[in-house]
Amino acid sequence: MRSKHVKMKYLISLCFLSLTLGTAGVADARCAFVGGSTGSIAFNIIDPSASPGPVLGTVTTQVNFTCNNNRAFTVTAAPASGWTLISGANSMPYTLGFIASGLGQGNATPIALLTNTSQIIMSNYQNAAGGAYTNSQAVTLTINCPTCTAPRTITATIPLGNVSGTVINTCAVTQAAGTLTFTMDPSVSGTTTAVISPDLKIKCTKNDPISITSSSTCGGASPKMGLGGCGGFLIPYTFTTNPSPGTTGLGFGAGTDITLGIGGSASSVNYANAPVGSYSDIETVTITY
Amino acid sequence: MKRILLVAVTAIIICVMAGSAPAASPSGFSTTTISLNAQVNTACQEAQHGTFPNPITIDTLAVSDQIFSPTVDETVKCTNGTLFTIKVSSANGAALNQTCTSGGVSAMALKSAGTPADTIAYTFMCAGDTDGAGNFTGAGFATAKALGISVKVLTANAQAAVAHADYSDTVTLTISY
Repeated sequence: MRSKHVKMKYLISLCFLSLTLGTAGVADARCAFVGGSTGSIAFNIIDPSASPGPVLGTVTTQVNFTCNNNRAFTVTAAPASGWTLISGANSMPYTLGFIASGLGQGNATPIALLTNTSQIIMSNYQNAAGGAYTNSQAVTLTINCPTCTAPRTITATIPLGNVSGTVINTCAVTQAAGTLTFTMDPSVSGTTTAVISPDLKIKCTKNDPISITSSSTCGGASPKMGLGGCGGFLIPYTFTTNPSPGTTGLGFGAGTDITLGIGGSASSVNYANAPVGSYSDIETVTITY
Repeated sequence: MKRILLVAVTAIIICVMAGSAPAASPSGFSTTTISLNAQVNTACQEAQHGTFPNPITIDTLAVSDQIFSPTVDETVKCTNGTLFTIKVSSANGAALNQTCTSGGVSAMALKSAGTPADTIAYTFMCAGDTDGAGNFTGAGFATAKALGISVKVLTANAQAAVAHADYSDTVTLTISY
C-alpha cells in the first residue's frame, strides 16, 4: 500500500514536470515596422542667403518601428555618407537625420526612425543654384537587433526623390550705396560725371539671372535732380549701372558680390543756366531676380 | 464543427500625395534707394571781351559831356542767380578795384604816351547793373550778361585837354562774386 502511494506520488511529480516543460518556450524577440517602411524628408524652401544655417529638414513621412522591451538596436544607413540632393547638373550635400541606436520599449511604444535633424549646412547651400532638388540616390536604413530572434534586421528605405527642397532665387544687398555726388561747374562745357563711394553691392542666388532698373523720384524713368526738392529747378541727368562681374548671381559665399557699378552724368547743356545751389534726388534701384 | 475565425484585415492605404517640388524657382525683386546730391557751383567768366573804337576822338569844343560806346560790349557769364560786381582799375588813373556802376567810376585817366603829364580824366560806366549800385545777377552760362560799358568825358575835362593823338589807358575789369 505504501509502495503504491509512493509510486503514485512519483507519477504525479513526473506529470507536473512534464506539464512544466510543456508550457516553457522561447519568446519571439524582434523588431518590426509599425506601418510603412518608406520615409520622406522635405527641406522645403532653402534660402541661400540665410545665415548662419543650417537648414533643417522636416520628416514628412515617418517610419515607425517597435522592438521588444530592452532589446538593443542600431541603425545603419547605406550609403553611409555622401548624401546629395541634385537639380539638373547642380548638387548639394545634405546630412540625413535618423535615430542611430536605442533600446526597444515594447510593442506598444513605436520608435520614430527619422529625426528632424536632417540638415544642409550653410557652406553647402549658400552657393547652390536655384531650383527644385531631390535626393540623387535612395538611402537604405537597416535596423539591427543582435539579440533578437530572426529576422534580426529590418530595412526601411528613403526612395529616390523622397528627400526634397527648393533653393529659391533671391538677392540681398551686401553693401549699401553711398551718395551719388555731382559737382557741376556751369562754366565748363561738357559732361560732369558723378562719383559714388561706396558702390552698391549685392549677392544673388547662383546662376540666377538678374536685371536692374531704376526710377528717379524727381523724374521717374527720365532722371532729374531738383533744387531744394523736385519742385525747384530740375536738371536732367543719366543714371547708369554697370554690374561687375555680370548679371548672373554667384551665390552667397565669400567673394560672390556683384558690384553694381552705379554712376551718373549730366550734360552742361542741362545745367548751364541752373541756379547755384544744392540739388538732390533719390533713385530707387530695383533688382529683379 | 469547425470554427473559422475570420480576421478581417482592413488595410488602410494611405496615399500620401507627396507635394511635387516646384518645377521653377520662385522669383522676385528687391529694391534699395540711392541718394543723389549735386552742387551747382558759382562761377563767372568773361564771355566777350569789350573794346572801344581806336581811337576815340574827344571834341575839346563840345559843350556837353561826351559818352563813348564800345565797339563790342563786355559780357560776362555767371551761374544763374549769382550776384556779382565788376571792379574797375585804371592803369593811368587812381581808380583801383572800384565797383563799376551805371553812375560810373571816376578817377580814371587817359595819359599821353609822349607827354605823360598830360592826362584826361574820364568816367568808366557799367550801365548793365541791375540796381544802380553795381550789382549784377548772373543769368546762367547759356545767357551772357552785358555790362553796358561806356566811357564818359566830362565837358570841362574835354575842354581842358591838351591836344595829343596818343592818349590811352588800360582798364582792368575784375568779376567779383
